[in-house]
Parts: sequence; structure tokens; C-alpha cells
Amino acid sequence: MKNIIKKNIFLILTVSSFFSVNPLFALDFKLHVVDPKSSRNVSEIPVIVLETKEKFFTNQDGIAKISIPDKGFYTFRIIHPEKGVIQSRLKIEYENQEITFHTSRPGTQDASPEDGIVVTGKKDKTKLSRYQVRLDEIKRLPGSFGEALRGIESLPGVNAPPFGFGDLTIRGAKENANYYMIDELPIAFPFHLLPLDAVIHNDLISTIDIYTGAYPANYGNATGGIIAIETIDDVKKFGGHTTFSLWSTKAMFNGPIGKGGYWIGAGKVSYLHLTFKPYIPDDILPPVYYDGQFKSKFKLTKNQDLYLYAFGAKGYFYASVKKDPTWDPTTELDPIVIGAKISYNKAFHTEGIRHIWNIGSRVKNKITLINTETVEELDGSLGALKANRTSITGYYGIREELFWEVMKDHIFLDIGAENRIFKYDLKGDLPVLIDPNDPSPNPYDTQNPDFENIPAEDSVRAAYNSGWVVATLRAGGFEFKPGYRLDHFAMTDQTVLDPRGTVSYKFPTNTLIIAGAGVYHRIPEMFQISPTSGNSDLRMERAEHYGLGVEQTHGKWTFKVEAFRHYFTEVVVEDPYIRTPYQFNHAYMNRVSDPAKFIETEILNPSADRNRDPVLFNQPLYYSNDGTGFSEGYEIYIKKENPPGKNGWYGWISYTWSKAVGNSHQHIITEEEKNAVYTADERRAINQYDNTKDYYMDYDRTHVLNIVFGYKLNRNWQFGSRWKYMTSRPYTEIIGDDGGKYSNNGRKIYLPEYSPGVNYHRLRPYHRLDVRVDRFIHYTWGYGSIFFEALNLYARKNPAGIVWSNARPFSTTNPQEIYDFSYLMASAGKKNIRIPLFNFGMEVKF
Amino acid sequence: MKTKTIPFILTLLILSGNSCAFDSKGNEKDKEEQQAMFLTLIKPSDLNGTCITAQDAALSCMNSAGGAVVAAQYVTILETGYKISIPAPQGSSEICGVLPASPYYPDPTNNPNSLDYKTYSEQSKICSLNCEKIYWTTINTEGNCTGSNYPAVLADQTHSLYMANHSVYKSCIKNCFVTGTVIP
Repeated sequence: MKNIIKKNIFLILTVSSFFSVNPLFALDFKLHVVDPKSSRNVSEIPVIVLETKEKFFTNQDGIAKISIPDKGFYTFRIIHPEKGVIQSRLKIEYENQEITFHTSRPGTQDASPEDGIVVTGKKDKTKLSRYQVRLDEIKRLPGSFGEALRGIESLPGVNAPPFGFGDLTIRGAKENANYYMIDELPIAFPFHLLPLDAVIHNDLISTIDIYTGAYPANYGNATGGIIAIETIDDVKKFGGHTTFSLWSTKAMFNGPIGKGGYWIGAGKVSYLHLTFKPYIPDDILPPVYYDGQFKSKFKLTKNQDLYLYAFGAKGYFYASVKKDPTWDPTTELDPIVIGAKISYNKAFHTEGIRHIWNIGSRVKNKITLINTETVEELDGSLGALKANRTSITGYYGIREELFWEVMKDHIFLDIGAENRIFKYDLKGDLPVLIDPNDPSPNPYDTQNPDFENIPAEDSVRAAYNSGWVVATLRAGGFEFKPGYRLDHFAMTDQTVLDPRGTVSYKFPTNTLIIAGAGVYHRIPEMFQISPTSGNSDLRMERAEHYGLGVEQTHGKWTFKVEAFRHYFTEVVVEDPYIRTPYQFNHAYMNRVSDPAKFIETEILNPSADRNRDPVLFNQPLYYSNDGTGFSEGYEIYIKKENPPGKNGWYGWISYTWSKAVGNSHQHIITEEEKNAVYTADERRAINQYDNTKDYYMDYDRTHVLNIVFGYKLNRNWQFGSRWKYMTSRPYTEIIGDDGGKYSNNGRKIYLPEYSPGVNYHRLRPYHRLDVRVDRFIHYTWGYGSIFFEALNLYARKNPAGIVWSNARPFSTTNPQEIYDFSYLMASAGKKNIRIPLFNFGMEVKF
Repeated sequence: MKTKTIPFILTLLILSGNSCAFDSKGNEKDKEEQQAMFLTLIKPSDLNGTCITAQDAALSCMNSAGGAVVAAQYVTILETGYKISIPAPQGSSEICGVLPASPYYPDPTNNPNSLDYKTYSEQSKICSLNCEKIYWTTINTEGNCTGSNYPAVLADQTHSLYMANHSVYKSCIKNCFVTGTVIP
């Protein structure tokens, strides 16, 4: 049997790769497959051209891009999931023609599939824990300030603060455990410093896939979710798009290059610091940012494409708080920040060159050269603390991925490898606690400081290599997708093998039952694993995902229910206790350039300066892999689609019940221990005792419900609404203050004392209704649109958390609840009333 | 077709069932836990013995400085500072019978009636006494236990735990309460 199989595979491989029918095509056109009864696009189904024996697939919009040798009559056969095989003979008359194929029009005739038809390599996306949204569905989502990327916040399993910084928590994983990609190229951060703006232009986006769990082995370096943005891949004529708002302007231009190629350039620039200048104090520069994206495609041959990519974003801000005292607690800022200064700058750039080759009809090869770099600069001071550091993180590498249909309709392989040289440079001075166990360090004490500044200087180049294989085995309604991923990261000196897989069965009724599981690893943050200012012995974080779901589609409707449980181990946490008996003083040794001088100054005439000791003893390491956690829950997703450009309504309901629990496993100092003096050795032993309890993670929300409704009335008007309901995040109760032990510039500072019950309390639930109206004005050259949105239509005072004022002792008014800013106050006679927050904007497309 | 597909599926099922994750870091010893365990095993626990050794060193210095008169002054300082009554003949054994038990020891400023009062563990008292022994031995070796120096010697003793100016004593105390034992 094995010999037969081997022989069969070899034959298929050989024939399909080298001798399959692969004529030099000459004419491209689009076949738009539509179900006329439901007016719904029929996506992701095969379309066969009988004359050429080529098979293509429709995309999310129901469009298959088909190549034929010349114009004329051709017979097209589709394999519809509900209606079986449908065939029609159509005439193709010119290049780029778009023809509609109705799945039940009169005259269609059933036919049986023919053998010997070959398949164009196509990546098959997992069905489990993946949600996809189209640009047109989320671009005009109310409350998202026109940023399509914010649309994913309304999907199941996604938990985001109402006005957050773009930091998503997906199925209970930490915010930084997710991985963002544009066309499989990494981006360091999805939103700017002012998170109303994303770092990618809306109209460059085609679709966004969010993988919330048990995703396949071709995705790495994430223990949370994957946000995969796919950009548009079709430009027919020169055009553009601009959007104006009070704080930024964005523009995109595009045009064709030769036959089948194109270029797209997009960018954004902010001017908040100019438009709001009268309201901004002189010593504050609000976030200034800009970004740019460039993508181009060159059609080298009929089967080979070359893509060039360049993405980048940069932002900075500056703030300082004067020391001038007014002694008025109602006007002065919190005493903790009096005299503080901060200057922050962050940027990233990613470049890619990608070659895609459809080798024959069953094999597709994709090779990408990648370079990416993230730069962060921080310069600030707070009391006696001073920080000044510049870090550069990134990698350059090559990614190779091969898609191979081994056995027609039954066995598919996705094999890939990525070899990277990871780089990390850090330079500057960092303030660290002299005694990390000090429960209340005083940052304002310059005489007997609790902090010391240590020089940090890292320059690391390390191999970060990955390989993966994902198989798809399909027979009848059954599908099994096992996969393995191997990662080696030299900085952690680890090689990990992650098994992952899904298994599903699709009933003839279009009911899909699917289950999946996988192991995932993620490298630590660079400041955590820094040899000079962190713990260079850290390991990768680890997660296990388990999921089970049922999906039912019917016409334009999708109904999906999933349950999940994720485990998180080896989580990097702050560790005040971890120390190393000795370590090399990397910051100093990295600066040694002349060995002779080093011997003379340091060995023969040693210095008492700690920063000039080649070896440091008993050094704190600040971080460990002690953290653990788990999350569990279930999600319900009901969606009704509307074809792009069609009138009608669309929307979805997403509901998530979840629980996210964690534990840093860092010994909690008891009251008895607080009132006792132990030797350092005793404390070290006591600190090994894990007296911790699991606690709800800071971002845990039990219920998250989104109801999204959109209605396209006609080509001139569109209406949208979203109602969001969330359980408030947990918090730790403040039960007192420290009596005001410290002071800053003469102002007493009261530090809060917390209850031992970590995250035991929650505020009232959060809910609000946002609505939006778009008015389109059409011209021969394109269209203009004006939108108006009202956030929090019923002007609810939604809790945003509790705030503690360090200027005042504990009282009934300190701490106090604060509310989010989704309403305005207006005077009505003698009364102040709350009204919704309004927003408007304008866009032009040509 | 199905007969050919099944072995593939079975093979992959078996492979996925035998999934193994190897972690090259997993076998490394945790220095932190190892050190803590080691320390708990090697620690001395003889409070009285350490105290007697320390007081022997102190009284030896006093006797070198001025004989019984100075030794008596030293005892008085202890009685005053730590609010204890040392029985006759006020030798090391008598001192150590009451000194470590004083709620003020080893920090005379640590008032048990204060809200900020902290109890010292037995190990911290042993460590402090050991530092005292090192201190007295050192100044004796340095030749400072002489008649002309004894007022200064005694003055040092009136200083509380963290206020002693001698570098050897300060270094020892730092090792006790901040650095801890460093195991190479």
C-alpha cells in the first residue's frame, strides 16, 4: 500500500509540477458569481473553465479572476455548496470584462465533475475562531472615528476599552500577546499615539481576519490572537481617496503599471497640535504623527508576480509640568507629576519584497524578503528618577512558503520557513529600584535615594528561525488540518515544537462542527530580556488553545457558536525577588573597545564604581517566567451580510462570556512580615513561598455584547448604529493611605493602600448606543461623502474606572469614580444637561 | 481514492498524537531556588553562642582599653540602650542571658510602644551579633582598644544598628540585611 501511495504522490507531483497543462494565457476577466434569489455573492467556491481545464476560486466578494487564452465562448462550471454543479456557457469579449454568473438562472444544467481538472494553489483559511470583516462593513461603523481597524473590536472574543489605545485583549491573553500583520508583514503597532488614527489607510485594506484561537502553524510569535490585514490587490485606473478631520488628513493614490500591475501610495499627517493650539499649554506638545504605505505589483509573467512593500509610522509628544506652586489642589495637577518631564518618540518601518509563482496549477510558491525595525526613544524625569534610553528592535530575514495540492481535492500542504536575524540595541540610563522588595519606594528622595540609575547598553544579534507544515486532509464533509511549528530563538536559547490542528465535519445542511487545539510560543519583550537591564535567562511565553464550535450558514446569514479554554504558562511578570549571584556587567563590557586600556584601568587599577565592575554580584533581574493564567468562555455570532454596493441592511450580533484569570506567583508580603525585620537570606527564602491566589486579570470582562446594524437606503444615504454592552473591568479596592510619607516640591503625596483582595470589585456595567449617517454625493469623477455620528446617544454616564488623587488623603471622595468622555455638558437654563458626543468628517474619492 | 487517503490520515494522526515539545532550557537549574534552599540548610541557629562570642570580643576590647572600669561602662551602656538589667558578675553569659531577649535589641531606637515597631527575627539578631563580634575584633586588631581610644570605642556602641560608622561594621550589616549571602 505504501508503495502505491508513494508512487501515486510522485506521479501527481511530477505531472502536476512539470507536465500539467499550463498554456500561456492572454486575456483576464472577472466572473462575478451571484445567487439571484438572495442577491448574495457566492464566495470561496471553485469555478472551472472546461476548455482550459483550469480551476479558479471566487473571493470574498464572489469574484473569480480568470485567465483564458483568447476571447470567445467558454463553458464555466461552478460547484455550489448547496446547489451542486452549475454550468453555463458565456462569451468573453474583452480584457478585464466583468460578467455576472447567476447560480440559478434559467438554462443552467447540472453536470457531473470531470476528472483531470487541475487546481490553482489557494491558501485555505481555518474556520475555527476566525472572523473576517470586509472594509465596507466596518469602515462606516459608528463610534470608530472612521478607522476600519477599530471594527474588529466588535467581534466575538475581542475585548477593548471603549476609548482605548488600540490595545486589544483576545480571549483573555495580554494586550501584547497579539500579532499584527499587513499582507503577512509585521507592523509594530496598529495605532498612533493618538489612537483615533490607525497606521494604515482605510482604503488600502481589503479584509481583516482576526484569529482568536487555535490558529494554524503558519502563524507564530503570539499567544493571544492574530490580526491579519489583507490589502487590495487590484487597481484598474488612476484614482485616489482623501479624508479630512479636525486632527488629521489622510490620502491614498493608486494607478496601474503595465498589464496586471499597479502601485498604491498612502499616507497620513496629523495637525492636532495646530488646530487645537489655543487650548494646549505651552509646555505640552500633543501627539504629532504621520505614516506612509507603499505597495506595488509587477506582473512578471502569467504565473509570476513581484510585490514591493514599504510601511512606516512615526509619532512623538512632549510634556512638562512646571514646579510653580499655586497651592490650590483644585487647579494644580497631581503632586506626583509636579516638575516631571517626558519626551517620547516611537516609530517603525517595514519593507518587503515578495515573489509569488504559480508553478503549474497545483503548486504555489511565495518567497518574501523582510526588513523591519521599531525605534523607541524616551527621555524623562520624575522627582529623583531620570530615564533616557533609545531602543531599536527588529529583524531582517527571508520567508519561504509553498502551497501544494498533493492529491486533488483531498490533500493540501502548506510548508514554510522563516529565517531571521533578530536585532536589539539599547542605549541609555534606566532608573531601577535599589531594593526591588521595597514596598513603598520614594522617588523624590535625593539624599537617600531608593532608586539608582544604571547604564544600559545592549547590542544583540540573534538567530530567530521558524519552520512549519500544515496539512489539509479532506474527504466528504470531513476535514483534518494537523500542523507543526518549530521555532528557535537564540536569545532564549530555546527550540520549541508546537503541534496544532483542527478537525471538522460539514453536514449536507451546511452545518459545520469544528474543534481545534494548539501550542503557541511568544518571545519576551526586549526590555525584559535585556542582558543589562532585564533577565537574559527568560524563556518564551507559552499558551495552549482549545476550541470547539458549530457554524450554520443559510443564504446571507451566518450563525456561529464557539467555546474555548486557553492556558498561559511561562508568562513574563515583574519579579521583585529574582536575583542572580553574579553576572557580567554587559553595559560596561560592551563599551570596552581597547583591551589593553581595560586591563590597565580596571584590572591593575580597579575602580570602586559599580558601573565599571566587569562582574556584578547579587544583581536583581526584575523579570521572571513565573506567571500563569487561563481564560475560558463562549461566543455567539449572528451575522447578516449585504453584498458590496447593494442596498439593504446588514449587521451582526456578537456576544462573549469569558473569564480571564492570572497569577504572577510573586510572594505577597504579609502583615506579620511587614512588622518584622529579617535578614536578606531569610527574606529570600520567605519570598520563595508562593502565598498567592489567582485573580481576575485587569482587562477581564464577563459579558461583552455588540449589536451592529447598518442600512444602505440608496446610493446617497447610509445609516449605521452600534450598541455596546460590557461588564466593567475589575479593580482592587483602596482602603486607606500611607499618611503622606513623601512630598514633592513641598506638596505632600498620599499613596493609596490597597485591599489584599486583588481585582475583587467592579463598577457598574458600561453601555452606549452610537449612530452614524453618511450622505454620498456622486460625481462623474467619483464621490464625496459627509458623515455625522452621535456617540452615546442616550448620554449615559459610563464608568471608566476609579481615580486616586495623591494630593489628598483617603476619604469618601478620594478615590472616586470617573466617567468616559462620550458625552458633553450643555446648559439648559439653570441646569446642566448631558448630551451625546458629536463627530463629523468628510471624504473624497476620485 | 478513500483507501489511499486513510493511511495518510492515520499516519498524521499518529504523528500528531506523538507530539513532543522539547525545551532546551527546561533542564537548567533555577539558581534562585537553589540558593534559597541551600541557605536554609547552612544557616547557624545558635543565638546564645553567637552572642557570647560577640560579648567576649567586646569585653576583651574594653579590658584592653581600661580594664574593669571600662567594661562596667560598656555594660551600663547596654543596660541603658536596650533597657535591660544585667545580673552580676556581668560577664558574657549574663549579658547574653538578657540582651537578645530585649525588645529593643539590636536597634535601641526601635520602641515597642511605637506603631512603627518591628520585631527582629532570631537570624537577624544572630547576624547583628556576628557583625558586632567582627567589629570588636577588627578594632582590637587595628589597635584601637587602647586607653586613649576607649571613649570613642564606647561612643560607637551607643550608635544604633545602622549608625555605626565603622566601615567593616557597616559592610557586615549591609550583607546581613541587603545583600545576603552570595554563593559563587
